[in-house]
Amino acid sequence: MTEIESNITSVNIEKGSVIIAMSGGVDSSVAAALLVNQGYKVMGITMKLWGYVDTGGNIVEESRCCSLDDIYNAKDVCAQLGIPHYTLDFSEKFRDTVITNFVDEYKHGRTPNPCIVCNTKIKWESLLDKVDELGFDYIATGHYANKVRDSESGQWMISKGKDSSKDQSYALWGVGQEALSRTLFPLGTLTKKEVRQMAAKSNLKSADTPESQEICFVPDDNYRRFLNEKYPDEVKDIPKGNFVDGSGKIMGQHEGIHQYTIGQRKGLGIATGERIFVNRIDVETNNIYVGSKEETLFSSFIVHKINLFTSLANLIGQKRDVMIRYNSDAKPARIFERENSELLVIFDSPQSAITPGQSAVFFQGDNVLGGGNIKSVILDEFAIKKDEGNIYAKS
Amino acid sequence: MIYLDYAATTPITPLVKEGIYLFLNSGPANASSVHQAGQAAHHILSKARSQLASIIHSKEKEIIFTSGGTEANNLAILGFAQSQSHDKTQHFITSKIEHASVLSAFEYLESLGHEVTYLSPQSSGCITPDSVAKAIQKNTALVSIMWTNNEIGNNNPIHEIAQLCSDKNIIFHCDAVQALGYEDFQFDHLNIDMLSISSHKIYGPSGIGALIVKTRVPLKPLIFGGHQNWNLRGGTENLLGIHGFQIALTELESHRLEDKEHSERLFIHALGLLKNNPKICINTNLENRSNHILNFTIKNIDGESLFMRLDMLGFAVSNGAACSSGAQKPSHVLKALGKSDEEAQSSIRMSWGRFSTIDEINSFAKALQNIID
Repeated sequence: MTEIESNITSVNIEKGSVIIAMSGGVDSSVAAALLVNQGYKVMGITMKLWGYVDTGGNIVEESRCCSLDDIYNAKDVCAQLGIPHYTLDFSEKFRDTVITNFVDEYKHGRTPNPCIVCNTKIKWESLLDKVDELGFDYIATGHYANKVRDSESGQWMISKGKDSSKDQSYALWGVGQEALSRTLFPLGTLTKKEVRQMAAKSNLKSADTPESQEICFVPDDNYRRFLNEKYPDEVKDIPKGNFVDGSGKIMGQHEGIHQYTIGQRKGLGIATGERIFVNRIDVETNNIYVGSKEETLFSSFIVHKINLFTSLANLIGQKRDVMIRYNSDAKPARIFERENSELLVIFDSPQSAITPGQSAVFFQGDNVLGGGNIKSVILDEFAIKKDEGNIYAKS
Repeated sequence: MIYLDYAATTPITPLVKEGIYLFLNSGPANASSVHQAGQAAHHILSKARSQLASIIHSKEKEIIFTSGGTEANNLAILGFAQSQSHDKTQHFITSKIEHASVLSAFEYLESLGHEVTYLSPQSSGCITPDSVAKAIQKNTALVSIMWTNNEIGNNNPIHEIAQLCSDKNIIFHCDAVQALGYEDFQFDHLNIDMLSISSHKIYGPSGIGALIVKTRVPLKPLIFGGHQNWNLRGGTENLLGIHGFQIALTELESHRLEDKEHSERLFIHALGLLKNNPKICINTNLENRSNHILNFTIKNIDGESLFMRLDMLGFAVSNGAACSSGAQKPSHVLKALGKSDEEAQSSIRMSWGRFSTIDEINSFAKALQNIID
């Protein structure tokens, strides 16, 4: 089915009831319309996650998410669809989990991925709790992703959406098994283009909403400004330190490790006539290592805080495709087990800017086998190689 | 749907609807126009004003039509403050349980450097004359205390507070939006200098209200641009609204006793159904109540979900203050009464009126019991 019929079909009791998380954007609006059309009993919920008072900055342009405009959009779309809509305030929980984690990660020289924390802790935990309290069957979102069930184990897995340019399966690795079994992704079999066409055809109010940005609560995309302005007490004591090159030579002074991320080139204030990139943030020495593009290439890293949709045996010692940042290509790697429920990942070929704090997601074809947080990058590749025999023996 | 949210807005009566419809068919009408059509419009305005004046026992000159209760409150507080000397810091007294339009106006005055005392209610929810007396300073210019609280439905001892202010020669404003229709309004016998009322709480259209002001009160306009309302509120009169307001008020007058008895009957009935449930704690003060609002807290329940479930079942009630996003915030009134955020969030305001029935209260109570038990 590629279009939303204008006349709403009646609710089919057997289909069940679903709460759809609606941002007010085009994706979740079309997802809601599809569910209504498929005969589910649907309720729209907009989760208010933060307000402008939380974000600060001289924000002229309305941000894409959580603004009043968007909430009203969601409300209007629900009215068009003839379904109820409510706004629920999750801002306290969002601040205590997502934003606190965001600040903490930068403080420790890592680069957080708040969308993944939000998916795991807010959407598929707090919102799902509401789904239960209200006696609804399913939770749905406008993510471009699918879920599939392993016929042998009966386990649910996330899998890639049809639109590879919009695929959001990377951001969903943290969803739990029970939660996933009760999740619907109405857009998984559609492309963004088709979704926009449907919205226009059905005259949905959100048909022309712009694409959402990366971090909703940093609408100006300036996370340094956000940290310094909104969390001054957290970051004011972070000491300055040195930029150091591969030979140990001091190249300049940095403003505190929270202001930098791996692979960063702009804003370093180092003039050497060559393009210089951050390749490592050393929390212990407070040094930030910089160098050529080639020097950001590493092969091996450790992943922790893991969530799997499959058995560990399906990963260990196997060659899988691993994605280390949103909207990048998954690259082949071998995966090994370590102590403390950690995994060691070794790419077949070195990858640039493997960044602690980001997620590593394991794919087999289009299916997500699981994922985790990148804990650290292995600098001494030789040690790994030397150790590889033992690792193989162990797994 | 079972509508138990009369304190938010009331249904428009058939008589008011008919009057509005007839008015809409009566041709163009600007009460300021000099031609005969304008004269006809002016006649409607004068009639409405004199009718309103006779019902609330005020002079016609004392009525300033506004866009509703919020504007009436703003005009009373800010219009009065504007009329005072700008060199001196003025002191104002209000309470923590006022409507947002009163609180926000005072917060604005604070931002201009004026001083505001926000009185806390007693645990019963009432503001005592004693607490007002204690807060009065040499430079106190205005006291503003509401008559009936819109969230918990308690009545403040407004006559005593008015008398106190009158004795001290301090201007007294009263937000009476929720009291209109339930309390006796004889403006000429009250010591109230300014009184805010609104049409859509008494079965009239929304978008129209009035500030009733004793002529001795100095006031500056907030909206400039025309001679209307004695230069105190510019803009072509909302004749459609004024006309509807007048019909509603006239109808209200003839229903007064009946309405009062009916709402009391419903109050006693609802209270009887709810008060013995150990999970329910009544917030409305039973001694000084207005009878059309019943507010209660449900222990250990998620307020948001409760509210949504009631709505899904077709019961329109309120759980205090909704912010512009529609997300529910803990009510500032319940918090002023000492409730925690959680308790305030899991509180329900039922309110009823002329068209509510015992059956409706029964089915609501039954649905509520099913959810919480």
